[in-house]
Amino acid sequence: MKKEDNILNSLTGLQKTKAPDFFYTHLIGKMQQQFILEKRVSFSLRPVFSTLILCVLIGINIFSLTQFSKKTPTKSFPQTNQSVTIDVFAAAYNMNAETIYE
Amino acid sequence: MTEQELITGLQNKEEFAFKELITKFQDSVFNTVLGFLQNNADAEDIAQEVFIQVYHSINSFQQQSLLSTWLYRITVTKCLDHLRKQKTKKRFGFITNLFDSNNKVLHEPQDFNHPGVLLDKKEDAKILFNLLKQLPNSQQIVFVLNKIEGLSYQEIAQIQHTTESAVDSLLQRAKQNLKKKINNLPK
Repeated sequence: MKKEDNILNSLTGLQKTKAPDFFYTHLIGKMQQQFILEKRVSFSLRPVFSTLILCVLIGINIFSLTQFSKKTPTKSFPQTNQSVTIDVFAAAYNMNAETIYE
Repeated sequence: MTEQELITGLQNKEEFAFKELITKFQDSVFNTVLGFLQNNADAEDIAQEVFIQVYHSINSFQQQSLLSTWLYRITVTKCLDHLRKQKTKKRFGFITNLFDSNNKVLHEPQDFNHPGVLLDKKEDAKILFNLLKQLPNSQQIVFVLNKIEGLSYQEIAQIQHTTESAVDSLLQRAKQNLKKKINNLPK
């Protein structure tokens, strides 16, 4: 019982603490930092800025695609008069035509 | 500066009014926050957040209560939000490192030494503050506001939008809970 009372009454005569030194100065500093950060974020979210960035990105993509398609040669197979017969096909795989039909 | 002048100055974003507000209430706010958070660094941080909130929200203050009542309400809300976030961090502590880069244990509750406690009661007060953290929010609020901040039942009732008898009832339950926990402490 005594232990309970001692613990429960341990805050009797409690002195209220004071705020830390320079509390106001630190607070103003924090608010200024938050204000600067908010300004940066709000600028980047402006419609004009966002649209500009989007156009630049699309432009880069279009440019890259056009450059890519210019550089890549179109593959064309050589024209031959020789018709592809089953024998030619078989020869390519070291087989004869009868093997293929089996 | 009267309260009305202070409120008008704050609504007009006058620096002088803001400084006056802080000068008048910084100790009360800090003391209350310290009672909840039991950590000096966190208490300063959250106390700052309280005043920043006041700065941004002063235009929504409808003046149906005293400015101090509104300020305490914001303080209590900020404290409870912070404690909730801390609990969430601890809950997921098992998937983070147990030790920091200096090999100090993280997430370990430390005994809180309130600077205003009388010298001969410091050890008992440490135990009390530890047990206080285990109370339900509603009981913790009235205990801190009454025993640490020294507010009357009437003031606490206004802050919590409740009645004085409800405050008294919560305080009695808080004491009963604390007694049970004290009896369950290892000897």
